[in-house]
This record gives sequence, C-alpha cells and structure tokens, in this order.
Amino acid sequence: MAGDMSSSPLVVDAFQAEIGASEPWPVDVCLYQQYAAEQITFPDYAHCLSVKTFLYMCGLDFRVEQKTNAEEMSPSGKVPFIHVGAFLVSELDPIIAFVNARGFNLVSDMSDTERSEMRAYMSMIESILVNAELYLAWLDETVSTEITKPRYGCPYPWPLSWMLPLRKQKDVRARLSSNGWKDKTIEQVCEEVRTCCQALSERLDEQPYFFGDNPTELDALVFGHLYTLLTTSLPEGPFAEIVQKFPNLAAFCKRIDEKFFKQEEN
Amino acid sequence: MGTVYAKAPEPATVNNPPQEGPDDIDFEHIPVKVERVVVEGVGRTKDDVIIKEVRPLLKAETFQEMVQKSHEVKQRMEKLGLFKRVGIFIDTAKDSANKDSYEITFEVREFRPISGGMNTLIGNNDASLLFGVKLPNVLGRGEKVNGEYTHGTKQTRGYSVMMSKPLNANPEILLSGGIYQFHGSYPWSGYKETDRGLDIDLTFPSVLGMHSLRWDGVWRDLRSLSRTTSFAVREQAGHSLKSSLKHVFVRDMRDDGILPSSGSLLRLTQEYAGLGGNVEFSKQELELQFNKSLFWDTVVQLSLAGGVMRPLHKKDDIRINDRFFLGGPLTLRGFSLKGVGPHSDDHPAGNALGAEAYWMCAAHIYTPLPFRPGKGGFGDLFRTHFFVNGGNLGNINFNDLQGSLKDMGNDIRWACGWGIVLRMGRVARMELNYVVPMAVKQGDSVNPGLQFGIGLSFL
Amino acid sequence: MAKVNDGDKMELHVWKGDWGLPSIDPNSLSVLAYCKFSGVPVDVKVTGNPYRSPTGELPSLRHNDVSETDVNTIFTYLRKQNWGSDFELSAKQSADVLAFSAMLEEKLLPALLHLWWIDGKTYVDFTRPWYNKIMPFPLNFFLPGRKQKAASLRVFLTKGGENINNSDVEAKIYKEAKECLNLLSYKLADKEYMFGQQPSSLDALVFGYLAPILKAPLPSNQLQNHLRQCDNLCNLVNKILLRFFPLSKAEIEEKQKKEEEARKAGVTPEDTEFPHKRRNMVLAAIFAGTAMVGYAFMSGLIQLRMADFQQQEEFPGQQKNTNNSADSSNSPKPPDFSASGFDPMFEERSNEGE
Repeated sequence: MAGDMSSSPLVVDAFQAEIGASEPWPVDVCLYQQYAAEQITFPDYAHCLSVKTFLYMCGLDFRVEQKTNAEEMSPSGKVPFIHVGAFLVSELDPIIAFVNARGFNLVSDMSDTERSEMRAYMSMIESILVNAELYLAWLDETVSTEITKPRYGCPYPWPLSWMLPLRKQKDVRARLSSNGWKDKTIEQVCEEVRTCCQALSERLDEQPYFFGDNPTELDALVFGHLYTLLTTSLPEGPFAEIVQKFPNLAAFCKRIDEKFFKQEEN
Repeated sequence: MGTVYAKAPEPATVNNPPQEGPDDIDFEHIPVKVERVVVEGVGRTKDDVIIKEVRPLLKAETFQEMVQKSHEVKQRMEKLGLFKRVGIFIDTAKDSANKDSYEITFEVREFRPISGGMNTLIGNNDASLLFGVKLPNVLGRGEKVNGEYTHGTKQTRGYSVMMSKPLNANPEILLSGGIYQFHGSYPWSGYKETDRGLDIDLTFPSVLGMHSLRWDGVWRDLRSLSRTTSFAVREQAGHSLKSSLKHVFVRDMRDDGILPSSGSLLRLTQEYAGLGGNVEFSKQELELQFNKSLFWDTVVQLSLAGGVMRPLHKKDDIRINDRFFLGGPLTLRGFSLKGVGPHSDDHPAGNALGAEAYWMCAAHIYTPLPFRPGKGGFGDLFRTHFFVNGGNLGNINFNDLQGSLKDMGNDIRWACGWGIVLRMGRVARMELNYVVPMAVKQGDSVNPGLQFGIGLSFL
Repeated sequence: MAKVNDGDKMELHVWKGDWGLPSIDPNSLSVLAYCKFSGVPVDVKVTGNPYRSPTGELPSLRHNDVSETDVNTIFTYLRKQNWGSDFELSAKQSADVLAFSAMLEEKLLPALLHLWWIDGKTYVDFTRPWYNKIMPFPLNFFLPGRKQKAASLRVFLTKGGENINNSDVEAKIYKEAKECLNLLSYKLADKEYMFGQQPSSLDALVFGYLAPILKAPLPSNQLQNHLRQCDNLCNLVNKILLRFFPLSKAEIEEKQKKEEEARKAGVTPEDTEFPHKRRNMVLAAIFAGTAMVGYAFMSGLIQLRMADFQQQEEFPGQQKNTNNSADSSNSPKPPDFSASGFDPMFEERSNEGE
C-alpha cells in the first residue's frame, strides 16, 4: 500500500514523452515556456514559476528556453515542460515524480501523515487558486480583453492573433463551466481565494516553510502562485490585495524569492 | 429534304449523308442559310450563355460547314458543364419561302439542380470515403458549388466548399474559390496537421499550355502524432499562417495521363509564400516527361523532376510541412514512403525531416502483359514495366552553391526493378513492383523486394 | 445549540439509496452524514426525482425560505445556524479540512465519475438501468444521459489537455484516485475519525465518497479493490454506517424479504425490476408507429416535390412542336420535348443578323 504512490512507472505516464535513452541528470536540462515578457499569461506563468522553484529547491541545474509554441510542443498541451536527456515531462506533479525517481527528494524525511497533508494542500491550490486564476485571466471581461487575449495572441499574425485567443477562451470557459466555476461571480471567486489563503496562512503559521525548516514541493507550488498573484499588475487586481492581507504569506513569498531567485541571479 | 441527326462524338456526320439523298451530292457546295436556331429544354441556363455559343452557326454558308459547326457547338456546349446531354436536329425551315433555309434544333437536358453522391477516393497510399453535394449551374451561367466531406483511413478528415465560375462564359477560363478544412496525419514524419483555409484559383489557357494562378491562405495547426515523435519534429508544433501565391504551368502533349504512349509533359510550379502570415519562402518545381513508342507496343518513358526552395530571410527555417520529401512506391521506388534524406537520429525509426531541394529521374520501358491476355479490353488496363529510378534530397547552401550541387549529385540513391502497372480510371494508378535498391545512404529507409503503391502522382 | 420550532423545520432532499446505503450519491451521503453527526433535526426526503427538490438539484436543503444545494454551501449554512461537527477543531485542523476536501474533489471525484458514468459497460449495464428505475417516467429518458454528459465534460476538460488522448486521461485519474485513497488512509492512520474521537465534516465527505465505492456492486471496480486494501478507511465507512445509519426494523425485513425472493426466483422478477413495463411497451409502440408514419409522409412529400419539379423542368411553359413526327422517330428522346422561353428572342436577333 505504501509503495503504491511512490512507484509510479515513468513511461506509462501520459505527461511524458520518451524519445531515447536515459541518463542520471544530464547537464543540458531545458525548461520550455512561452516568452515571459510579452506572451505568457499569468496562470501559465504561475505554473512555470512553481516548477522552476521546485527545481531550484532540489538544487538541479537547468536553463529556460522560451518558445512561442511551447504550449503546442508540450506532451500534455500545458506549460511548462522539461527536456531531460531522453525524456519530456510536463506539469508539476509528473515533474516531481520524475525528479523523485532520479533520486532527488525534498520530502524523504517526512511522515506519511505529513506527506498526505502536503498533497492535500497541493490539491487545494490546484482546485482553488488555479481555477481562480483562469477565471480572472479569461472570464473577467476587463482582464481578458486588455491583458490576457492580446498577450496570448501576440506572436501570431492577424487573423490568428484574434482567433487563437478566442479559441483558448472558449476552452477555458468550457473547462470552468464543467466544474461549476463559470457561474461564480467575481466576489465568490475572491471569497474562495480568501478561504484558500486563510487555510494556507493557518498552516504556515510562523514557520519558515509549510512543513518546518525545509522546503517541500508545496512551498514551490504556493510560491509560484502567490508570487504571481502578488506581482502581476492587472487592471483589476483583487487577488493581490487578498494575499497581502496575510502578512505571513507575503513574507513567505519574499523569503523564497530572495533565497532561490536572487541568489540564482548573482 | 430529310433531317440530319448529328450523332456524337464522330465529327464524321458528313460521311454519313442522309439516306434519301443521292451519294454524289457535293455537300461542300450546297448553299445553306441558317434561318433559325432553337434550343429546347433550357431551364435555369441564362440565354446569353447559349446565344454566345450558337451564334457562329448563323454564319454557316455551306451544308458541310453547317454540320461541322453544329457539331463544334455541341461539343462546346457539353464542355460548359451545364447539360447532361446535347442533341442536334437539322431541318428545313418550314415557314420560309427560301428553299435553302434551315432550322437547327438543339435538344439539351440540364443537370438536376442538386445532386449528391458517395465515392471512394484513392490518394497516395491512402483510401478515403467522399460524400459530396454538387450544385451545377446555380445562377444560370455555369456557376458551380461543390460541397465535400472526406473521411479516410489514417485519421484523414476534411470538408470543403468550392465555388467556380467560367469567366466570360468560356469554360476554359475558370475562376474558383473555396474554403476548406482538412485534418491529416503524416506518420513518416510523426506529426498530424489540421489545415483551415481559403483559396482563389484562376485557370486559363495560353498558346503554350494551361496556367493556373492560385492564392491560398491557410491556417495550419501542426501537432506531434505520438509520444515517440522526435524532438526535432515536436519543436515545430504550433500554428502557422501561410499566405502564398502559386503559379502552375502545364504543357501536356501526351496522349494519355496515366499510361501514355507518346508525347511530352512539362509542368512548372512556382510558389511564393509571404504575402502576410508568418510563413515565408519561395519554391520552384519542375517536372518533365517524354514518351516514345517503339515496336510491339513497347513504350519508353523518361522522366525528370526537381525542386528547390529557400526562405525569404536567411535566418529563417522552412517548416517541416513545407519541405520536400522523397521516396515511395510511385516516385523513388525501392524506398519507403518519404524514406530518403534527413531523418531525426534520436529514435530507431527516425522521423523524416524533409529538405529544401530534391531531384529525381526515372526511365521506364512499358510493355503489354506477356501473351497479351484480354487484348483490346481489360488487358489494356495493365502494363508490365522495367525501370531504373534515382534521385537525391538535401539542403542547399546558397553561399556554397557549387559544393551543395556537387553533394546533391554525389549522394545519389537509385534502384531498379520491374513490375505491373494497373490504370485506375483516368487519374490514378496502381503498381506492384519487385525493386532492388542499388545505392542507399545512411538514414534512408529502404523497401527492397515487393513494393505496392497506389496513387495519383508518379514518376 | 439552536432551538428548533416546528415552523423552521429543515427539509433535506437526497437521492435514493440502495445496497444498504441511505443514498447512493456522494454529495447526498455527505450531507446526510453531516446532519447525523451533529444531530440536525432534519426531515429527510428520499427521492429519485431531482425536480421534487426546491432547487431542482440533489441534495438540497430547505430551511424556512432558504434553499442550498451545493455540499460546501450546505455545510456553511448549517455552520452559520450553529449546527456543526467542526466546532472542536483548531484553526489548523479547519485548514486541513479544506485542503482534504479539495483533494477529494480534485483527485477522487474524477475517477468516481468515470467509474459510474463514462466507463461504457458500467454505464449501460448498471448506472443507466439503476437511474431508469428510480427516476419517474419521462425524466428517466433524458436525465441519465445529461448526467453522463456533464460527468464526461467534467473529467475530460479538467483532467485532459490538447495533446493527450482519453485513455491517457483515464490512466491518470485512476492513478490519482488510488494515490488519494492512500493519502486518506495515511491521514486517518489508526484514529477513530480523521481528527480524533469526534467525527468532523471531513469524515462526512470521506464517507460520502467512499461508501458508494465500497458498497455499490459495479461490474468492474478497480477502486473498490484498492479501497479494500485500506482497512482503516473501510472500517471508517462501516463504522459510520452502523453508528449513524442503522437500518430500521422495516428495512431489515424488507431486505431479508428481497434476498429471499431473489433466492427463490433465481432471477429477480422482471415486474419488480421494471414496474412500468406494459406502459413502456405501449409507448414504444406508439412511438414506433408515429415514426413510421412520419417517415412515410416525409418521403412521400419529397417524392411529390421531385415529380413536380421534374415536370416543370421538362415541360416549362407552353408546348411547341418543332419537328414533324417522322423526324422525331430518329430521335432517342420522346418527341414532344420542346419549347423554351428564349427562342423567340433569339429569332429576333437572328433576323437582325441577316
């Protein structure tokens, strides 16, 4: 029973594509995402930031390759994805499983209960923050028209520059409609985000990381999303204010930013 | 006086004079005056189209001329694509005092206003089912609307709506346009693609041959076919918008499109992409074919084809869906479909990546089947052939043109063999060959021994 | 605790139950369990007709003139009314409840939906017949299909992606669901309930999701096999069932009777399985008859039009004989093809040309 969760076979995973032989952790690991300055939308940016943070936390070297077609290249159709030797792995969970299988593990000394709590909180980010980000980016009239759609369409010539964002918006709307988020009002979405932040804030308390003194993948995930919400400037930015109301979360973001990103830059 | 019923398609009506008349009548010198032309059975077709076609009849002065012209008119009217059947009656004008007055009656039968159908289609090594709806002659001047849906093996899906209109009521000058969507997979390269586009096409004849000028605006969505698609192909996934102008010139002097016995073919294709969109290249292609009949119905055929393309800006790459590929059972026999040239090397069965230039040539000797079974009928659909074909596919470095050309000439792939050719209708052919590849380069995917092919284009 | 008058009695509409469960719907079960845990004086209405509830969806809670339908909002509402089982929990534990309920929704629900609605065999052999049976007449024709469509959208839109196919999605959701069961099992460990001795709203949710997996006799149920290995979770479900949903005497008798009948008949008699058999047959006959007559009428109509059209095509306007009868015998066509609206005009022009 205990073995079930960690021994997920790699090649059967839908989010990987095998394209050759394997090596331990090659030097030329590459993370693919869209152009950060002009193109990427903030929900995607949050995902990329989470993965980058996780890889930094593991102390793994990689370089970031920016491609306009990163989304279409990805084996799962979502960014980011990493190219490690023979493998392509996309999205955070499969990347964590892949990195763990290569012997890099942030949570090796955690108890089963703690690990299960960590996964639960990660699910909460996925089911609340990710949906809320998609809602704000694509369903909110002002944000989608002024920010998201122009950015999403910017690498393409007319008329693709307006057709592709419309198509993407339709997809996102269908997705949010299927899980009930489309019918929420922006106030309800904010309330969800507030509840989520409240829970995170309670859990974090005054610790440096969510589970004590060492970072876990939950920290990477939370940082990726909260930092994005805090720093993205939008015409309507209710989320940043909500996050700001929880000082320990804001401090947490600042801490991780300084520890893993400012250092990397130097 | 009797009536001549001109029976299609022999233009030799003249040689079958009306029975009542004595045999020695000199038709060339009987003066006639065409008093009246009646066209019966006209429904939707506009009068001006028909008037334009039949007007020359009024100028006929001798009996032979009249018959000859009637027949020409009939052929032209059939070409318009407006009528299912055209029949001619020639009679003396009843109410005229003049003895030489004639009245010509055309009996035409128009197409139904709408027709539908279901066909099977043979593409290059692919079969598909086609459902079509046709509206010939929508506005009365040969305007055709054609809707099609194809559903094929290998996940091929497509639909299209095409409209065409003869310009100036001349069926040879055709302006057409349409919208289409097509989804196909390209397993040799490991990708699939959805195309959505519109095109406008003008076909017109000149003294040298047929021209076709076509603008195509197409949105192409390319995706990896599977998880094993190589990274080199995967990198090209995504959306591209091609807006290109293409000119095709064809001078076809052959007596048959599939199994010719004499004549030559010249086809020149030029494409310029870059009128908007984000795909920019120029592409030239050439195809030549000569046929010569020898003794005992043996035909020698020599073919040559080649092409080259270059990006408009030096730093740009040409996408995989625009590049040339080489190899296959109807082109470079002895090699797998698109099996020649650069392949991705990160996988045992690498993906064909294509290249920016190619050439190939072929020499065939066609003979009828041994002992000629079914001569004059079914057996004439078959030929045996012996062939040698060779070619190369590679990238050209325009800074070192000489070196590149030398490379293209050095790394020749070639194969020879023999087999049976079957003609399928007027457009396609099927081949079963035994092939021996003679020169192969590393990375090529060969197909020695028996090779089966079916398709529209062949060399 | 709030005092309840007769006037503000709460009414809870839930899906019908089966196989010893008070309801077969996870959400209904969760709400039921939550009410039982904290002893909410609620009037439970078991139904197979979602339109009987005030909101048109199940489960649905009505109190005075407030109607709530979503599990979370029902919990929130009850909590606001001071009915709840979470008051003992610390702030951190409350956060955990939120996190784990998100995990259930994110990881376990897709597999559950797939199991019941998307897996073809289960849907055709089990889910649809079951819902057909419990839903009232016209609803059972379209509601199961609609529920299936919603489930399929939910699973493939949230879990799928542009470049992955459905079988990959299936492998993924079942893997996630099994992992989720493991994680729940770790969280429960050997405690009585998730957070100690008292059941919480999380226990209600877990019970709602797991009880149908454990009890429903689905034709194929890989989650059930996996869940059976998690002893502590099975125990939790059985414990809650025993403690909070004891069978009434009548129900026990009915169950025994049913079992006996089944044993006697070997096969369940069709009449009890499909109570509306005769009516359905009559309706089917009427439907088939209407369809056939309709079809005949339609095709007749089309033929009629076609004939009309052809006539018009072949004999437009007035008739005019241009050939004498002797000539027309040469013609392969009927002789009286003739007349076109245009020849007079042409005659004129030809005269001009002379």
